[in-house]
Amino acid sequence: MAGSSDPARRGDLERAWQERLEDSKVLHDAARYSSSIVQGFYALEILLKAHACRRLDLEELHVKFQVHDLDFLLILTGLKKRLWKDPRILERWIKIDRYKDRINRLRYGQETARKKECEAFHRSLHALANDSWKPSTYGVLPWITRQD
Amino acid sequence: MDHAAGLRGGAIRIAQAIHRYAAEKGWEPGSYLIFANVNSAWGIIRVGVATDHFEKDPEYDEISDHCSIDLITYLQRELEHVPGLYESTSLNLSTFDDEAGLATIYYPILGDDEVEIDFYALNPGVDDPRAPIARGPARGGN
Repeated sequence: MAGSSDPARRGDLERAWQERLEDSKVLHDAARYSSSIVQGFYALEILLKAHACRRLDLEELHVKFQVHDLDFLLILTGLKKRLWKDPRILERWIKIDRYKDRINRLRYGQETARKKECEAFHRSLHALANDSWKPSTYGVLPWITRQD
Repeated sequence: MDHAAGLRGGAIRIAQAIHRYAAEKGWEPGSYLIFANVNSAWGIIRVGVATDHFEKDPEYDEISDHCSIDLITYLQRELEHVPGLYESTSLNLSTFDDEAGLATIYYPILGDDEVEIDFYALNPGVDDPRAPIARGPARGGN
C-alpha cells in the first residue's frame, strides 16, 4: 500500500484491488456512497500499481511507485498512450481521475457523495450499480485488466 | 528551452486547440474557461475546462459521454502532429454548476513539482473569476 515502509508484493496487490472493489460495491449497496467511491478509487490505484509491477516484471512495489496520483501510475504502466487512442475509455478515465483532489475530502467527511454520483462513478470504473452490477461498456478497470 | 518551459508551451498549445474547438462550436469567449498546471518531474500537463456548454446526462448528473468524446477526438486530431503532447495531457472537464468538479479545476492541490499556468495566458481577454483564497494542503496525507 502506498506510504507503507514494507513494499507490497505483486500477488498482494492483485488480491487487494479486487477486495477494495468488492468493498466499494458493498458500501454502495449499504448507501455509504462517499466511502464506496473512496474504495473504488483505491481499487483502481492498486490495480495500476499491480499492472506496473507486472509490466516491469517486479515482484514488489518499488518505492517510486508509492504514490497516489493516477496520472503518475498510468505512466508507469505504459498505458497512457493507449488510453488516449481510445476516446471512449479516456472519457471514463477523465470522470474518475477528477476525484484525485476530492478523494480526501470524501474520506474525511468534508464532502459527501450522493447515490447518483456514486453510480456514475461506478459506471465509469466498472459496472452499473443500478442494474445488479452488470459490467459497464468501456469501464476503466476491465479495460486495464485486458491490457498486456 | 528547459523542460518546464516546454510543458508550459504544451499547455498553451492545448488551450489554443480548445479555443479553436470552442470557435467551431460557437462558444462565446468567457462562456468557457481553461485552467492548466504542469508537473515538471513527471512531464504531465493538466488541463481543466469549465463550461455550461457541456450537456448533462440526466441519469447520472454528469457531463454526457458524447460531449467529452467530441472534445477528446478533436484534441487527438489537433495534437497528433505534436510528438508526445497528448500523451502528456490530463484532462478535467466540468460545468459551472458542479461545485466539486469546479473546485478541483479552479483550485487544484499542487505538489512541489507542479506549477499553475497563468490564467490570462490561457484565456486572453477573459477575467479570472476565482476569488483570492488560500490553497488547500499539499498532496499526500495519511
